[in-house]
Amino acid sequence: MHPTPPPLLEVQGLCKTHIQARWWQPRFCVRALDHVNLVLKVGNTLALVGESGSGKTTLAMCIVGLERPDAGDIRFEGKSLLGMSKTERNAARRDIQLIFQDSAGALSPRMSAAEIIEEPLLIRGKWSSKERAERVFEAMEQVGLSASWKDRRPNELSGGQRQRVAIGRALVLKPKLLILDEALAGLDLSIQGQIANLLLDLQTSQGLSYLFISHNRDLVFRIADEVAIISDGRVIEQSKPSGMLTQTEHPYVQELRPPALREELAFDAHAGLRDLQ
Amino acid sequence: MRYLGHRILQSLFLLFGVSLLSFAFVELAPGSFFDEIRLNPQISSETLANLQMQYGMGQPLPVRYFRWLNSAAKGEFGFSFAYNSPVAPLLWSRARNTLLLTGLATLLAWLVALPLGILSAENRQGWIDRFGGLLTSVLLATPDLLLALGVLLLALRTHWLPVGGMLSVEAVGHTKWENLTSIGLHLLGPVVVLVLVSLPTLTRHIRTAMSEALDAPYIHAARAHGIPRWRIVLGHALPVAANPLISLFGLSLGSLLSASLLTEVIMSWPGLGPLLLEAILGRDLYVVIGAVMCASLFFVCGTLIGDLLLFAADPRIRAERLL
Amino acid sequence: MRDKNKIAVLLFCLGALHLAAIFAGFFSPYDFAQQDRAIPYAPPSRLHFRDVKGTIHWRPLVCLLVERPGTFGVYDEDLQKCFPLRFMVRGSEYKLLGLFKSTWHLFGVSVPARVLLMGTDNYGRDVFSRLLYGSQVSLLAGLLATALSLGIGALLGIMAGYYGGWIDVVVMRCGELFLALPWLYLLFALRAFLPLHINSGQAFLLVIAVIGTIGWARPARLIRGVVLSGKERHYVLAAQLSGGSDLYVMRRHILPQTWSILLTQAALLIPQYILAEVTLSFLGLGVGEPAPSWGNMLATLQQYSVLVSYWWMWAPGLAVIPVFLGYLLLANALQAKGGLHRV
Repeated sequence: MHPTPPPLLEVQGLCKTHIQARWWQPRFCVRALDHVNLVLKVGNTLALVGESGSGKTTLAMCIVGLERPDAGDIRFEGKSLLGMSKTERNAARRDIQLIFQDSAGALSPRMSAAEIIEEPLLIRGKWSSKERAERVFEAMEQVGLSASWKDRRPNELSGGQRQRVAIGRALVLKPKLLILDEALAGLDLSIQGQIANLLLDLQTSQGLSYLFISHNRDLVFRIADEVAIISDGRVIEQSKPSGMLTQTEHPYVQELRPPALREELAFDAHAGLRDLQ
Repeated sequence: MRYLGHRILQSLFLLFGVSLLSFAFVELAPGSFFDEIRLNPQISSETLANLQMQYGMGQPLPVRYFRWLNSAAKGEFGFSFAYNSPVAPLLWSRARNTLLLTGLATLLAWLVALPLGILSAENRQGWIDRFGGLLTSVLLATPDLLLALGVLLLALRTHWLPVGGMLSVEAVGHTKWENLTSIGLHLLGPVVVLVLVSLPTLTRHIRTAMSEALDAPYIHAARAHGIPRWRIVLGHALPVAANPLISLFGLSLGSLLSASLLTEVIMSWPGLGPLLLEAILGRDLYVVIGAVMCASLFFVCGTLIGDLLLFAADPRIRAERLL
Repeated sequence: MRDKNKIAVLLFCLGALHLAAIFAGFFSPYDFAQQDRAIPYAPPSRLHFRDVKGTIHWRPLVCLLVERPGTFGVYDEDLQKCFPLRFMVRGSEYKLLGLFKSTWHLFGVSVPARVLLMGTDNYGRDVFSRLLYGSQVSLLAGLLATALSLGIGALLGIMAGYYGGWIDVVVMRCGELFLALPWLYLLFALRAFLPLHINSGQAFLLVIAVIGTIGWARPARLIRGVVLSGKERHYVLAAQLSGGSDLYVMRRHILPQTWSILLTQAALLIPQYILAEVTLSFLGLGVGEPAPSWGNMLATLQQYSVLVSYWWMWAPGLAVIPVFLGYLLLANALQAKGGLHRV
């Protein structure tokens, strides 16, 4: 048994309150995150499950730095993200990427697929035009997009293809952690399966770790190494899926137990599939 | 009530801001009223210096501003160099005339635009709508300058209307009634111009508001029930359309001021317009500031009235504000 | 007509008008300052296709004008001295676009006759030529002032919408101030506080600066609205996540979202600003003699005698109408295309 590596991402006691106040109205507070704790190990997929409004997206926003939490800490590769200087945080941003739910909104309608995937490279500015083209090509191959589609606009692509472009854009900077915020919601079931498989393949080939946010329990229990359940801003549990199903008594988690696997769904057998039969 | 207070406070701040802005520019103004006097060799530099001190021109800007505020509080609003009198009385007599003109023109414009707009909306693509659309397009494309000149030409050629001033030269000795009719006749030209200027936008907005109101599903239901058409239009659609129209009313009251400035100058109606122009050319700066403040006051009052009417008329706005 | 075709046609027509303005020197037979004191307020030349002997020419003839003896301002044609209208003639020198010298004119007539398509003014200057040169001043003033207004408005609107906070509050409050005043009064007030007696070139720039500085508020407000919703788009967030600086994100993603509003506002503002310049010059606060502007050309109409008797002096006013109509229709078409209600 190899020694356990330090966790890639550690969230400790994260708090965030949304305050809505106008001077003629009473203060209206929403506790989005209430002392949230999470641990994600390298190479793993941690699924974050909860209803809408439970704080999943707020957590994702805090991790990538689009929102600042009120209290707590986020440690990436052992270093605190919140305590970093601007340059360090910029470097860390390379390693953490976010994939949004609505692929149409996440891609600029004025740019072609290749331009979208190339954009992070342009922003960072460290590569020559030839190198950029190579990396874009590489990324498109990895996500299964034919090179002939590089000039297509997002409105000319299907939902699944758009998500592939989004993933390609996320991969082009060679990140370590991908946060998928309901990334498979809204896609056809079969497409969901395809993208899920793609993600799993990329995980092994690129050594990625995923924070998979979803409310789709079927999907979650199929591909997650660990599942964390969040409700009203608190993480109720974090454990392996199998353990969760058999050992918990929490009513919400009991609700999450998936129905029996349906054989028609053509999912590849994978190490991520646990003994759920 | 709290809403009223809030809006009045807002308006006061606005006017305050305008006065500050105007005064800031006074500092930048090269050349002053005294330049002309300076050129006159007969007046000694001593007299000039005395005059300047009397008007407080030598002092720094903030001091001058406070002196002006003081004078405003006293009801004088500064001093006119050209007329050698406080600005306020000058403004008041002119402002009355401008108010008369603008108020009358707004009323008349609405009286014409309302039926036109309603009929157009009700009978879209009908002949009234098409004709009205053409008319408004042409009017919109004609600058108010031309309209004023055109009406002036008409008046001169046909001698139907007197031109220039408010009363005829023979006004002395006439009875009050004759004076009133004389004023009315003199007023007609400028009023016609202003009505023509504001008609296109008003009609368009009314038409749009009524069209939207008439497209609502419950109107179709009412029609299906057999309620007579005029009752639907006036009783059901108009109250709904009243919301944007009331705010438009407030706005139109104020926006007509810009057009009236030009019209007054061209048709020689003694309002704020010619006063302002004269003051600019004569570098009578306090009059300029006074006239601009006056116009701003009217504008702000117009929108305030519009907002208050809206507040009184629409229960939804009341609910939203008091929440 | 479909919207796209409508827009294309309108752009073509407006383009042609502006082209005529740019090539004013070529299309006008005379220089704008060229005086002929012998024929003040002369009516437009009559083009004769038949000469005294009765023969028909394909090129129209223009006859010399002489003042009727014993009268003032009444002209007769001297039918013995008629000259044909020639095309592509050499005449007074002018500068094309301010750079290239040229003496070619589209049409002209031999001295001593003058082809006066729109008569002369009180100094005997050809009104048609002055109309064309004046269009340069008035149209260009409108365009440049619009560019200034939209530039300021876009800058402030984007910053207010993107950053929010105190920048937003300050910009919006200032904007309210500018919007709360009747614009012509504001224009006059601003003009009042600046030097009165300046030469035409300076006056031109001044007028543009004044008009442009006043009208930034409404575009800024509209653009701010677009930016407020646009900055939340996920592809904007994605660019920020990749490390894009604020400037990059504003330039690459936010600004393109504002194009359609900017275009529509431009089509609305240009005619208003042309009118503003014309109004200012009309009242003597804008571009002055001897440079022609449609405004100061119309100023002579303030004299009742001119207004009533000399109808050709209305030419600049009538020329404004097709320009306005063109921009108006363009604005409507653009708004229809953008899906907005007519404003």
